[in-house]
Amino acid sequence: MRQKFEQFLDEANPASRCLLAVFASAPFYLTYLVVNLAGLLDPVVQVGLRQPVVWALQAALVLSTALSMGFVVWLWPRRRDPRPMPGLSLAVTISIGVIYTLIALFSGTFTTGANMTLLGVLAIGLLLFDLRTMWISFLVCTSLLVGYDVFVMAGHVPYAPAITRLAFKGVEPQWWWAVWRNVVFYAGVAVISTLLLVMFGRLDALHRKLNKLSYTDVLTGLPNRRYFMERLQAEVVRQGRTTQPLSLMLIDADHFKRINDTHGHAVGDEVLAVLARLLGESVRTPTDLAARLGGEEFAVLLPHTTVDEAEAVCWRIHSRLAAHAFEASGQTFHLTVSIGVAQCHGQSTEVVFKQADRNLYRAKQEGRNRSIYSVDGALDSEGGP
Amino acid sequence: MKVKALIRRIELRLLDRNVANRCMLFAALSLPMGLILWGLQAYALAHPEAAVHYRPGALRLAQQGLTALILWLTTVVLLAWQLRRHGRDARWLAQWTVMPTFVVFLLLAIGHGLKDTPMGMVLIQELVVARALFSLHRLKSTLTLVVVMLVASDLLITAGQLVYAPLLTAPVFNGEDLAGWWAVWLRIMFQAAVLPFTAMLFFAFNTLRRQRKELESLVRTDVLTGLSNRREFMSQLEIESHRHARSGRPFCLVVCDLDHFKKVNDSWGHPAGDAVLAQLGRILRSGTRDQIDTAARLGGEEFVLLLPDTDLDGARRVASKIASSLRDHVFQADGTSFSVTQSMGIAEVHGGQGERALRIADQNLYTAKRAGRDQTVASVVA
Repeated sequence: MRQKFEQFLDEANPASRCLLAVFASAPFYLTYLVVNLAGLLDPVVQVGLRQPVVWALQAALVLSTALSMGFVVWLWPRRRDPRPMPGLSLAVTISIGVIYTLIALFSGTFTTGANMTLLGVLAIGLLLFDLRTMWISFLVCTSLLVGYDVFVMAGHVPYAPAITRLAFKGVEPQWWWAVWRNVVFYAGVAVISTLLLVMFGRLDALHRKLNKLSYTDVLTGLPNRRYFMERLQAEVVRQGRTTQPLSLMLIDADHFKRINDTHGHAVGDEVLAVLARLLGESVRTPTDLAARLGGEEFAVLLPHTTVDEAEAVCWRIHSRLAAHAFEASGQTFHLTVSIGVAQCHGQSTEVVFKQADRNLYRAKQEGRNRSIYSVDGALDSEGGP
Repeated sequence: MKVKALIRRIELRLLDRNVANRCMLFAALSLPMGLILWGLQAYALAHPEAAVHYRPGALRLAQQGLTALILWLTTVVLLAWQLRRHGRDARWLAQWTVMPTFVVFLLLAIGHGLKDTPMGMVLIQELVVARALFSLHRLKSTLTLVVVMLVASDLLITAGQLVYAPLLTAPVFNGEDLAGWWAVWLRIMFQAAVLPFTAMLFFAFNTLRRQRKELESLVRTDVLTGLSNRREFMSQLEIESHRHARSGRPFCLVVCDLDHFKKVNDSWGHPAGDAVLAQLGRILRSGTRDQIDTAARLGGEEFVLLLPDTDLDGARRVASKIASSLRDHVFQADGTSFSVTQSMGIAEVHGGQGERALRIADQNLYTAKRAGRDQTVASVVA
């Protein structure tokens, strides 16, 4: 249910947003119409009401209901129309906003929960419509409230014009007024709190997703270069402090361009995705980190790992790749990688990276499909698949 | 523009702060409301014509409670400032900041009467601030307590055990015109609650919308250069190929590859390499038409331009303009300056075969590389 609603909020076109707003407000119009009418006809309640004002509210409600029906008739055939409808959105939001504003205004803006309902309506509007529309509607409703209040302060019109002294006996509200006040208050609180929690939930989820995305490579799902570089920097600093071994592997797919050229980029992308998966499986996550640096270049960071131990990881990668047959356009082929490994011994990030890169270059020079290791760049050794 | 930058900064502060900072912000944002109410009550204590609306002992008690809260929130601001500087864990402080604030405001709200004063809105406003700064999980105990107290007070009032608005001699609204004191008090409290609430509402929804857009564009763009990424390019290529097959209008692809990019990385370091890539991204974007062409980074140091409605000559002109812009740009690293060139391959699409043209452009790029780099090779797909 919640997921469906969120999907609607993300994808709905302007026409269906307007329709939802109309459908959601219409039942409340009808409820108010019925409740007000009952009050106007009831001999106990009617003395507590300023009847012309309530009849005026009834007229506004009838008008708004008719307008809503007009909106639906016009919108229903256009419900799949993807075009923006700024004029209509504005008409819908203002017509709804004005009704709730009138209800709050007539029953006492500062002294009923109706003001809370009004804010709830604003929040719903913000969820459905764009800021410009809501901003204009908000200004219209606010000027209505402020304009009336100016007249109240000048003494020209009564405060809470729908309610008279007889809605109270002494200082106690009559039962019907107490019930109305309670319902409006709790409904307002419920609507606002729910909406706020939904909105902030969405905000948090989006923020998390954004954070994750900006650190993830889209094609392979591995962490991207930015994240890898930050982690590398952090691990090198930690290595300097703890003097635990730290190994860096740079991995480059051999003859990748050829795969792209023979089988097309779609196959190339798939090969990268498979390679990424194999790399992810070959390391001890979460301590180790496999990432895509860009193009066909990958990297693995191995904390608490000496070059000798890294050799085992390289061997695992080579043998897993050898066991994996790719298929494209009826042909099968195998992918090999060249790996350059360097162990960090208190050098700077740049130096470690450069050493690994040099080893990778040498692996390529010496015929590819192999790994070259070095400790401090001095003791170079070589290992095949 | 300045307003947008400011909004962005506020957002970042709200989103990426540690617990101590959040406690500090919560206390700082709750203090104004406390001070406004405190000021009003202080005025009532000093002026008999306002004081008649309150039960004498109760008002003094309310003022003492509020004073305690204000002092505590001030302490929290100072304490959190210290904790923040020392980077110490401040999770316990969150509970001790939010809970007392809500309890004091709720008691004051019940005291003034929840149903005919804007005090309910004050609580809602506090809820927005709290939820903007803390996760729902952390607020759970406080919110539960608030709901329980609220419902309990209402039940007691209904059962006749508790008088409605116990702080006051009579409820604020009785169907007649507002008493002079309440006319002022209500308007001040109403604005104090509604204005910040509305501002925060608009702000939060604005953030929500912007983040959604950002998320959508992030999926389609390359983080480093801001150009389209490979996935977006591929889908654009497919769309334009179909369009080309239908319309037959000329359509060209330009593939660019930086010359000796590895050397840049090796001799100047990766940050310099990234700067080169970003600069090339800027050059490609300014050298192509907005909305019509697509400039993308395929990966590594490889870029591509998709130029609809452009024939081979047009593509050549675009390529040479871009090549000379890059050649003329002087990069700085380690106090020395250097410049970079690129090789380019151009192919014109025929018969809607975009993928094929991409391959030909790639081959032309290789020819350019073999011919000594820093040049452009173009051909029509046969």
